[in-house]
Amino acid sequence: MPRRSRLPYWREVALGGAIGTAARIALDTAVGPLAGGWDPGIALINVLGAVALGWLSVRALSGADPARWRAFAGTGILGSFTTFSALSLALVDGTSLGAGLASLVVSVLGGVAGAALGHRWGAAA
Amino acid sequence: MTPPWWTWALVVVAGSVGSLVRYAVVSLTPSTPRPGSFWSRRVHGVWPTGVLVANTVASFLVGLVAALPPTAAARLVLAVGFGGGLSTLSTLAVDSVSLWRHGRRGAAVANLLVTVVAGLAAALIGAWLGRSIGVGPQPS
Repeated sequence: MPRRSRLPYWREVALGGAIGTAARIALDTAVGPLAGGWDPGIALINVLGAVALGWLSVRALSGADPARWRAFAGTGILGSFTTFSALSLALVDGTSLGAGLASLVVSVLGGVAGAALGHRWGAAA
Repeated sequence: MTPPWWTWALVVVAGSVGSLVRYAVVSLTPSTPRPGSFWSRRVHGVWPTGVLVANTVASFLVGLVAALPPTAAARLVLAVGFGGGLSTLSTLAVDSVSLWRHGRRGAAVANLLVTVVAGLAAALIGAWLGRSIGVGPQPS
């Protein structure tokens, strides 16, 4: 009998983490700065990711091992797709204060609203 | 200047490693969600400590990296890759909504405020530390 791992889904998280990181870079690169100088890519990513995780968090996933899918899609893909450190970084790396604050406020408030919306969708479906 | 493809490959690998560290931190702190009750346990009497730790450490790291003079490639790998994978916003938002819906409204709001204040403080401390160890960007 193999010893039970404390991190049973590390492979799923590692793979999902790579996918989420690549998706974040792709989307952030595709979304350019707006006319005012604010680059909304990270905020958009965070809100989208929060909606998706809110939805996933209340879905009763079918299949043999739902926890495995949550580790892959939730902890892995959506966890690394969304980011908090980019928000902190924007306030110390010379990004304008207005742009940094815009990303932070939209990410946090939009993320919470998005997660609540995702919850609602997931519970209704 | 566009970084070469292998830089992006390293960034993705670093994001994967960052995710693994976050998974380990969240799994090994008191907020441990057990398989099968992934989000349900952490809203009853527990605080989402693991995500707070991951976000704060990642913020410190990216602040430090921003103040040190590594190459653009190293900066991408450490900040965008590892820091981006280690930190997360989706779990923060979902945890706060879950806390709120379970009647723990103070904890829901505190989770957001503490994360933001700790993250900004950590980034500032990281940047200050990076500059004060004397290898910060030289004026050119």
